[in-house]
Amino acid sequence: MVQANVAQYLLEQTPAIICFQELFFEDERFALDTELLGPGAFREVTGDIEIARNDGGIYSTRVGSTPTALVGGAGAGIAIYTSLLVENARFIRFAGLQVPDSLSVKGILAVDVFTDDASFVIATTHFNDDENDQVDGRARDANIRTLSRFLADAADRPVIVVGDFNLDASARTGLDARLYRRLFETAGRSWLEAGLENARQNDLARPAPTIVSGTRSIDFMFASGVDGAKPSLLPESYLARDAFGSDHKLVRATLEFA
Amino acid sequence: MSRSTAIGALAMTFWCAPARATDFHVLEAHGGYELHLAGGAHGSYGVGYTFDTLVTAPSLRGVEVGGRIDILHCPGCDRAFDGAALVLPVLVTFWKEDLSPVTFYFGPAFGLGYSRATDKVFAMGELEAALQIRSIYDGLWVRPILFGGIGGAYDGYTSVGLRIAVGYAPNHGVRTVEPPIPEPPPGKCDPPLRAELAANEASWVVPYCYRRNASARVNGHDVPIADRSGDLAITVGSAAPGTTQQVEIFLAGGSFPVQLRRR
Repeated sequence: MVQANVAQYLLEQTPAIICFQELFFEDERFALDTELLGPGAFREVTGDIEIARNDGGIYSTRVGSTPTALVGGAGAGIAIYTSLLVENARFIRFAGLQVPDSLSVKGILAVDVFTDDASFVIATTHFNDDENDQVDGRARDANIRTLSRFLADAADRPVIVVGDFNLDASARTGLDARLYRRLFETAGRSWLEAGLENARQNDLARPAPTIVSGTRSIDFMFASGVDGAKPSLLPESYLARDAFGSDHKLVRATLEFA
Repeated sequence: MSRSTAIGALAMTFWCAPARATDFHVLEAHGGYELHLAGGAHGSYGVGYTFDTLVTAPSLRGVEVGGRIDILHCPGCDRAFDGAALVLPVLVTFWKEDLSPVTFYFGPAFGLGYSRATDKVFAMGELEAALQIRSIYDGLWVRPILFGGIGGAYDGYTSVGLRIAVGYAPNHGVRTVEPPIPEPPPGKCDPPLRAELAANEASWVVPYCYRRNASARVNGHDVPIADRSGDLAITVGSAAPGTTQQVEIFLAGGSFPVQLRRR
């Protein structure tokens, strides 16, 4: 249901890049391929990476990860859809928990994106579940360290990292507040987070909730530039309103590097 | 390198390996006493190591594996310190959360040992039911274990017994003193998760939250809003005391749910 609902939205308003989380199983991934790439996509697997291509949909390329847990068969569930030129797809799994959440394979997926006049790195991730990580937030702290190492090779390029970080940006104190502050030190770069920046632009005391029930804001869009290309959030471009049947809202924003 | 040095190096490597988020390495001292069903009894005590990990699957939630050395104490034997055994328990639980202070475990333990009284190398098995009590932020682990045993030092006895293991986890959690929750910045829009309003009030006001493109729904229906000097006034209508309205405020690209209780 989520796949069909979100595809209808994307058909009407097509962002350049869209990243998904919790596509844990192959049938879910392939159902979304049918909606967004069109039926009959060609799929190629190389190592941990699965790339699907087709010309019949609103996007031409989907990059996903293939590792699955030994029991249950859940994968990392993260995928990137775009029609831009992408290269160098890579995936790294997190080692934050001895046994990952619900036997899934949490991690980070990234690609290098090339446009006519720019190139940047986009990564999507799904951090370990906060419900399994209340002792000092060790798992998510390890996730942040892994993300830092993972992005070390992108020092000379703009980077966008999006996903479900399982920590609450609306927390004013406590574990989540500390981890959220740590995220802004990732890879030794300075970061702009779209939800926080949207709150700043609109005089909100906290970022808008990104989950359907409650006030938690846990789905982020981080951007980091380089000299001469600093990120900014296009005013009134941030959107976290509709869930399309999921328990998370679709988070959308337009980021500029200038 | 001698065998003992190699084992020591291996143990140190394992010990120093960084634990993952929900893993604890626990050094334990233990003592137990068991009654032989055929008559007689013996005690055992020693030291051990337990690896305590949370399993983040829907059903199986935790595993404790480890090893302990039992020094056998046999009051009825010629020599009270009668021998020793190495015992390896594998315990599981289906009821555990990350911070659980009390967890019920069960599972088998297997061992090999030597008894001077019988001059035999023996094998043994136990079925254990344990209550794990732990203080994650202090490192204290205590585990009363009720067990039934078979085999063992004294010519194939069967037994029931109770063992107490007391342990310390060096990689315990760090207790953090949280600062008080700061007040929200003044003058910022901060829709609450819950609010109260008198039953006869037709309008609910959210300070600093009026925005040009704002809108609101009450129980799923669009309702009028108004700018009240920068505050957002939502027409919620009057409602019976004790009822709750689901208010959804849409502004700045986000939606903010509020449970509005009428009093």
